[in-house]
Amino acid sequence: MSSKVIPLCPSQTIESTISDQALVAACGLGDRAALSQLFRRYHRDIFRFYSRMFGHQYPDLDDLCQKVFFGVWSGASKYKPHSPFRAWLYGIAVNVAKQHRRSERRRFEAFRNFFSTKTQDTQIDPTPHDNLCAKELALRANLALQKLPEHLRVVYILCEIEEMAGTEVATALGARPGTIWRRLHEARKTLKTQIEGGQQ
Amino acid sequence: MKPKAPQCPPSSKLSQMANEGRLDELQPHLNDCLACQKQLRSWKRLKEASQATPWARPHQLQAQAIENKLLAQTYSSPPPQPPVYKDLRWWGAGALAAGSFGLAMILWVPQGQKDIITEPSIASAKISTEAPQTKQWTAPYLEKKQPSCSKSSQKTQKLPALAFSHTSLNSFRDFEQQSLIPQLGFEGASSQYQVQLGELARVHSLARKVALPQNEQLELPPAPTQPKAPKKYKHSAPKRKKAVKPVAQAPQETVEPPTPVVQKPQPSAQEAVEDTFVTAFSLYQQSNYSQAAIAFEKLANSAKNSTLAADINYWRAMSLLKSKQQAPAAQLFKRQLLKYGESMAAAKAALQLAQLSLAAGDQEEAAWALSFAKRDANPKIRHAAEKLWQQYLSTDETQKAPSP
Repeated sequence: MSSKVIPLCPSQTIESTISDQALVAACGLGDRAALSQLFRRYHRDIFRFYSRMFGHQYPDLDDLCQKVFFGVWSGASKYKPHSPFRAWLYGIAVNVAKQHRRSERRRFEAFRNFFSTKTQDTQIDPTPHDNLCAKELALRANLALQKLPEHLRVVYILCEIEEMAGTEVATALGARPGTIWRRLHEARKTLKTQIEGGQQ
Repeated sequence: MKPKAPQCPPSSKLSQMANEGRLDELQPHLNDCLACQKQLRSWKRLKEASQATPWARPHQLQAQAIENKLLAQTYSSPPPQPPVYKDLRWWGAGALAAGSFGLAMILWVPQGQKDIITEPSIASAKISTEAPQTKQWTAPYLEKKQPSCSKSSQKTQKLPALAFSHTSLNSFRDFEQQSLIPQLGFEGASSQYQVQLGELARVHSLARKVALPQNEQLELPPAPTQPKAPKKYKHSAPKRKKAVKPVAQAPQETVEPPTPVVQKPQPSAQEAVEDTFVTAFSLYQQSNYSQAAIAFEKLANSAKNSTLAADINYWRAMSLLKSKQQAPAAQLFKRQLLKYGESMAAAKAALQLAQLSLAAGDQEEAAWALSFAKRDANPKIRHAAEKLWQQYLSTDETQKAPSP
C-alpha cells in the first residue's frame, strides 16, 4: 500500500514575513513582540560577531548580546527607515563592544588577558594528522584575529566573515568607504603575516 | 610571490573590487596575471580560514533566557521616546538659557555703562565745580551721590518734551547728535531739563565745560548734521578712531550677504541628482540589481541633461545586465557609445556590448564595439579588446572591420 507523503513545511507566522524596518518602527512605538522577533532573527549573528571580536570562550557574550538588543529598543525611534538595518545593528554592536572594552580596562583587564592567552595557547598543539590542518589553520587564524588591532579586526570581521558590503560597513562604523578599504587591506596583510609566521 | 607587473592594479584596489564583487571587470587582466591570481587565492584561503574559526552558538534555552532578560529590562526602563520630544527638550532649555541671558544683559548693561562713563567724569567735575560761576547750578546735583538709574528714568517720564531713552544718553556722541547741548544752553539752563537728561549727560557736560576760565564765554558749536564724530572731543580722539572703525566696516557687511543667497539654489539640484545616484548605486553594490535598474531608469528620465547622465546610463545598463536582461542592456550599451562616446565608461560599455553581441551571434556589432574599445586610451581595455578580437573575430578581420 502506497501512502502519500505530505511534506511538512514550517508554518510562516505573520511576524516572520514583516521586514526588519517595520519591526524597528514597531519597536520605536513600544512593541515588545517586535523586539522579540528581531532578537530571534539576529541574535546568532551578534553572537558570532562577538565570538570573533572577543573569542568564543568569552564569558560575557550573553550580556553583550542583551545590551545590543536593548540598544535597538532604546534607539529604535532614531532609526532612519531607508538605511540598511544590518549596518545599523552592527553599528550598535560595535559601540557596545567599545564601551565594554573601556569598562573592562578599568577592571584590570590584564588578568583576563593573561589567563585567556594562556588557555588559547594550549589549544594550538601541532598535530601531524592531515585532517587537522584546516582546523589548525582556523585556530591560528583565530589567534591572529584576536591579536589584530581592534579597528582593523572590526572591519575584517564585518567585511570578510560577515560578508557585509564595504558601504554598509562604512555606514555602521561612521567612517568613509576609503578608510574601510584601507583598514581591510591592512588587516589582510597583518593576518597573513601572522599566520605565515606561525606556520614557519 | 612574483613581483607585480606595472599594469596590475594596486593591492588595495584589488581588495576593494574583490569585496564589492567587481572582479569580472578585471577578468581579462586576471586571466593572464599570475601574481594577482595568487594574491586573490591567498585572500580566499584567509577568508575561509577566518570563517572556519570557532564561534559560540547560543543554545536555544540560552537564547530564550537572554530574550526573557531583555524583555524584563524593557519593562523596567521607560519606553523609547520619539526623538522629536528630546529635541524639543533641548530647544526649550536653550531658549530658556538665551532668555535668561538676555534678561541679565538688559538689567546689567545700563548699570555697567553708567559706571564706566561716570566714574572718571565725576572726579573731574568735582575739581572743576570750584569755579563760582558754575557752583550756583551744579551744587544741587553734585550733592546727590550718584542717583540710581531708576530715579532718573522716573524723572524723564514726567517731562515728555525731551523723552528719549536712557541708553541713548549713555553715549557721548549720541548726546551731541541730539543737539541737546544747544537746547540746554549753559548758564541759563533750567535745573528741570538737566535733571531730565540724566546723570550721565550732566556729568559729561560739566566735566568738559566747567574747567573754562571764569570770564570766557562758552561757544557751543551747532548741532552736527552728519553722524560722524566731531573733532571737539580731542581728549578721546584715539578712542574715537577705534569706535569709528566698525561704523565704517558695517556697510561692507551689509552689502555682502546677497551673493550667497543667489548661489545657494545652484548646487542643490545637482546635489539632489548626486544623492539619488548614490542611492541607486548603493542598491547596485548591495546586489539588488533589479531595484537598482529601476532607480537608474527613474534617474535617467529625470536628469537627462545632468553631468552624470553618461554614468547613469552605464550603470543602468550594468544593473540590467546583472539582472539577466541582456537585450535592454545591450541597447543601453550601444546608446552609451553613440550618445556618450566621450565618457569614461564608454570603452567599458563597448567591451560589454561586444561580449553581449558575441553571445547573441551578432559579430558585426561586436566588431564595431571592439573597434571602439581598441581606440581607447586605457591600455588594459585596448588589450582586452584585442584579445576578444583575436579570439572570436580574427578569421575574417578584413571583412568585418567596421568603419570608425
